[in-house]
Amino acid sequence: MSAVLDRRVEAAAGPASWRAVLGLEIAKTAAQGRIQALVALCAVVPGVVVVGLSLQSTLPTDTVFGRWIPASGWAGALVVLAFCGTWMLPLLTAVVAGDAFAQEDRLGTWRHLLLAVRSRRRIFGAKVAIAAATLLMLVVLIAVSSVVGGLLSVGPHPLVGLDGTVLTSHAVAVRVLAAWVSVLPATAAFAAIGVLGAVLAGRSPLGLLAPVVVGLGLQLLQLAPLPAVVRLALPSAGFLAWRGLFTAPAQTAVPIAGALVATIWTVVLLAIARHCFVRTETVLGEPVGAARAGLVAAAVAALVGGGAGVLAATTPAAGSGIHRAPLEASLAESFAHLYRRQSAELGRPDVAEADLRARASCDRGGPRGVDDGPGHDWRCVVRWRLPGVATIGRAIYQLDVAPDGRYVADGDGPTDVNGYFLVRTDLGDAPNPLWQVDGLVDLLAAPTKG
Amino acid sequence: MGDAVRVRAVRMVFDDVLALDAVDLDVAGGRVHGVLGPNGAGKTTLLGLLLGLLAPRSGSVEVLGVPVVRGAVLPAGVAGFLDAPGLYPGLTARANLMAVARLAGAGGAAGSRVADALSRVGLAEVADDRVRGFSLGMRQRLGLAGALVTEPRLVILDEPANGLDPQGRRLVQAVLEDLAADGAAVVVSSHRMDDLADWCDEATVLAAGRAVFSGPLAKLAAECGPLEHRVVVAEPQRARAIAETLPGLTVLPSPRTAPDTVVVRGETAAIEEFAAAVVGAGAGLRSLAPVVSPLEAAFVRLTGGEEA
Repeated sequence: MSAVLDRRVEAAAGPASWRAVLGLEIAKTAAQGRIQALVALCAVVPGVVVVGLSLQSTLPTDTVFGRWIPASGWAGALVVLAFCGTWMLPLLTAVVAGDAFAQEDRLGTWRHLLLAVRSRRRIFGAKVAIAAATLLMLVVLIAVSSVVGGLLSVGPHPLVGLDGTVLTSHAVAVRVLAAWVSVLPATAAFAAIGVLGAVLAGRSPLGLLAPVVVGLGLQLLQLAPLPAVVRLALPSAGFLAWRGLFTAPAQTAVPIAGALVATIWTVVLLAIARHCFVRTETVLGEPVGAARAGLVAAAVAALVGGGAGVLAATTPAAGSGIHRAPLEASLAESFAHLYRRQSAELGRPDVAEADLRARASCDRGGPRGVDDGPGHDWRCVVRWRLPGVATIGRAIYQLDVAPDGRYVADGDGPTDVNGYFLVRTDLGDAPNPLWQVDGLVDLLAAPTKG
Repeated sequence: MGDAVRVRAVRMVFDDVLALDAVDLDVAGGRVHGVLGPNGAGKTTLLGLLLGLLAPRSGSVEVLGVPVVRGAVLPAGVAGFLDAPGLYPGLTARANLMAVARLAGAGGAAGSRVADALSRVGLAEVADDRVRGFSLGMRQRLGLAGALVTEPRLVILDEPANGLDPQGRRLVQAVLEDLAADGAAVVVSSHRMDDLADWCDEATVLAAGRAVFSGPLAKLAAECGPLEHRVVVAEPQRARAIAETLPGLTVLPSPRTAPDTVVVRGETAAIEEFAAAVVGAGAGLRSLAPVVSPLEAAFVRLTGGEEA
């Protein structure tokens, strides 16, 4: 039947009003025990975790901003965001969104709903809208809870960014808000995966597991050494892209690309899900069928291939996106900022970053290795010169560079610069800012600097 | 009153299995129409078509004057359920019905309609309880109330008495009678012939996807053919001997546990002649009753001996 005739018949028949359909979806969602439990958990657990971390002597230094939890109340919200973006949000999102559809299958209420609403399009639209609103509420609760936990336990102190700059409390607050907002498109994309899985497979094992497996798979791909443009063409990239907001100036290319990519994934996957939902004759859970499986496979291939192609054509990105020159520039800049911070802690004369003229020289895997790509075998030497001092300072760092561009530079001497975890200040022992350095390489930057 | 349901030469095939073949059906407003058939006869498929949950592969289905076609939606005014009522266990009975009423466009009248429907099905006292704790019978009643709140012009009910006690069955009957009195057409399936006899004006019998009968219940009963009767007498040997001499009567083996019972099969006239002969011979006629009702016998005969 043609779409025109579909619309004409639907208009003549008069489906239930949007208000009534949305009202039913809200009532059903609010009455679900699992949603109520999730709301409670999201409102309480992140804050409790942040307070707990701030009281611990051992910090989660392997998580971005983990080492700064005792120093700034804003760091806790970012640690929670990093954890949520890696595993929790993708799974939670896919399951919650998918369950909006699968619950009708589970309760045997599809026929009732189809008869009462008299429009598959409105059912689909209302379910997607309410699932999105539910997820938005959960994300907001997690963010607010973690922020409140951090601010109550530590306070709104400035935070050291991923290039060593000290961000004021106001600047961090704005960036924390932007960071949580930046994961919303990726959250929507994973919600679309959940919806598509539920529409295609209902409450069958495939329908329940597919979104989870796909979510885990996409997250695992982020750990693999993929070309940067392919990595950023995946919807999961949006969960990591916020880190670029914590440099000065902000690395906005990756967050923007992540948001655009995730939005396109969302639109395409929801369009497929809607098409399949409207075309399904009776209820969900009918065999997926070769045609539908082929449609989904083709769409995913087009999204990854097309996205990677567009990014390759419009950005200077090449290979893994992790190259020696940008890495050296990033480490030298971070070192300069943190050296100044260390000087302040130790009561040494202040020195501007530009006056230090810090330079880094990096090598990966020894003389025969290719100085490119992620890995834990990067070794860098940072050299700097204090104004009026003839001697060139020299510090060694071992770098562990993740495929997403984040790295941790671990001080390897000399001991008076980066050898100890703590430094002795007039006010007592304080963390040594040069002991370990967090940094971020812009994956979409040109392989060569300058 | 015009036809609320008009089905013509409908054929449905699922994965090479013939579900319906050349089925016709007409149901006018104000009538209660039963759909009968053994398991797999096509009842659910036919009701699914009338609810717009399926579209015919060939033939035509019109509901309240609107054709049922793939991708289209039914007109407002159709209510009912298939298999079991669609209820959300996390919501209260009232909330379930309020949602249905609002979806049907009741607007500000939703509250009064819901209260009235709950009262009619005897659930007013548990209106604010969650459906999760309801028994099967209570869910059936609530499903019936769900149909009422939409003020329907066509009601399709699949086994509405499933899980109901005798009081609940009478309640269903009262509701169906009210709906019909208000001018709604009702199509109802049940596997209990006594229920259908109480509820329906007319029926369609399906067998292997084909309509083997469609018409008034009285006409269906006439299709029963020779009926088996149990005759309890004081002198069974004598009564059996009388029966064997009468034309048009077949004597069947008596139940092992009822030695005073003679079982005979024949047309009504032959049975009446036999009863008179037993009385005349002084064999002590104590009771005479059909083994199965005429409707059930007709059903068994039309569907090849299968259960409903």
